Amino acid sequence: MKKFIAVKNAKLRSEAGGGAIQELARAMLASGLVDRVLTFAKGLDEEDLLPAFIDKADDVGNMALNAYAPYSLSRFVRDYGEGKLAVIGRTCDIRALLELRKRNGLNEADLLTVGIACSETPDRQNCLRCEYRVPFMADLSCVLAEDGTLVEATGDKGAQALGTGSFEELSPSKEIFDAEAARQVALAEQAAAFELQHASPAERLAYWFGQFDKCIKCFGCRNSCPLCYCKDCVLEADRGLVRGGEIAPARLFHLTRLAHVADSCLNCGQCEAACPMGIPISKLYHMLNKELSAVFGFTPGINADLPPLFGFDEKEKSDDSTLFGGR
Amino acid sequence: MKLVPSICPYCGTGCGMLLIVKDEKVVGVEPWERHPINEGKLCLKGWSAHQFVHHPGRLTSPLIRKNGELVEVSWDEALDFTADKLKGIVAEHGADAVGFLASAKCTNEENYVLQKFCRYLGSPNVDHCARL
Amino acid sequence: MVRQLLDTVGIEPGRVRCEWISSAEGTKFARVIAEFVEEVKALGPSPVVKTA
Repeated sequence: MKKFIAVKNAKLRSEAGGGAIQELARAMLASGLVDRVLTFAKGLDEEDLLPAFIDKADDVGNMALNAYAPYSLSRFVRDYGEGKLAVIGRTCDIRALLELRKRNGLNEADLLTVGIACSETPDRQNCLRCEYRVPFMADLSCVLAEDGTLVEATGDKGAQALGTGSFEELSPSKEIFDAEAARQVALAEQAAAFELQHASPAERLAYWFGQFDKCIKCFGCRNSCPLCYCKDCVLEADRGLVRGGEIAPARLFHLTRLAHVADSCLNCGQCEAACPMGIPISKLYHMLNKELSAVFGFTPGINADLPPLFGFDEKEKSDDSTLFGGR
Repeated sequence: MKLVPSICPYCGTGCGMLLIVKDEKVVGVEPWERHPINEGKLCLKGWSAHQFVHHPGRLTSPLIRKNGELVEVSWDEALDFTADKLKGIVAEHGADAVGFLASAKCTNEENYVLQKFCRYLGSPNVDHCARL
Repeated sequence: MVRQLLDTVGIEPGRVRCEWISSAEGTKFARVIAEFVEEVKALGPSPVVKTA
């Protein structure tokens, strides 16, 4: 059930989305539904947006909504998320949390996700080809409009969270839905039109290996990836492919990481944003991910489906032709 | 957990970084998008810069070797000791016998002062770690 | 998946092949290896070497 809500307070109401998200954060903290809220907040100046844990209901005024900053909230949940936590983030943050959850990287019971649809697409390549603008996989899926917020609780958890706040339910004008639908279509078309790759294999090889050769092995792509959850990273551990403690040659480094992450790449672009050498890593991962999605029928971060190669089918176990069967 | 803006200590580039501080301890590093020098990018050293802060091997006070063993001493004692030795060496062997190593981890001003001090003693021997 | 990966960066996927061969299937093993060697020879030297 979609609702169109705003706060009653006239001052807050002038904020984006009718102040509903701020009120939601305040109410969740005040009611004790959550201990902390992880979101983007203003840092040193208006344009300095940093991830922040907010634990006092009075501090929600510092929240910065609907602006792009290249930090992945899900990594902060993974590394520093304790207690009852609500995450208010972009769709890619919510999708990453969903994927981490599948990999036992998070404690599900204590996490509440509030997704905010990106209203403008930042001028970043990965955002231009993003297909998931509206966070329908979050507990609360929100779209900010000028004087109110379209919100949809996708389950009991979301409904409970929404119930803590005091909102005024507005009757949205038809224009708001029409404008939202039109924007959705425009962005979907933009994503579909995004040119992935049309070069010959030889050109592809020259291009990608040329890019890999720029690599200075800062491990920034690994560090900034919201999905890299291995305690013992395949690029550092002694697992035969790369000797433990040694740094892999640039091409092997990238192919290894590609093979390890591509099945679950969310196209969030964090790796590319962190790359000092400007290698379009996210594009490569996204390309391979699209092809693998077609093969395995798995799209990361949209539902509870497990990634490919995550376990055995019952059929596989009893099948004589596989390694584990027939004994 | 909070993020504290800071500057990478490793080289003269001066990349901006956010120190991840948890329970009054630096536990991680995040590149700082808003910093004009690096615009949200870090090298391998920057990404690992938090590791030395609370490392048990880090020197937290001056050490002087006494009877073959390194002993922790106060800054006053260390500075007096160094000044005495420097004066002694310059008096006995001339200023050419001493040299100074500046550091990319220091500020420009600190390095300028070191260079000035070296000239004052009359030694031409100044070098630093970034001259690789 | 490895084949797809190699194809994406422009290396011929034919350079990788996965076959299940039991320890009892000596002739099959010999045949597959011989076939694969011919296939890779037909593809020629690795393009990776050329770009190095």
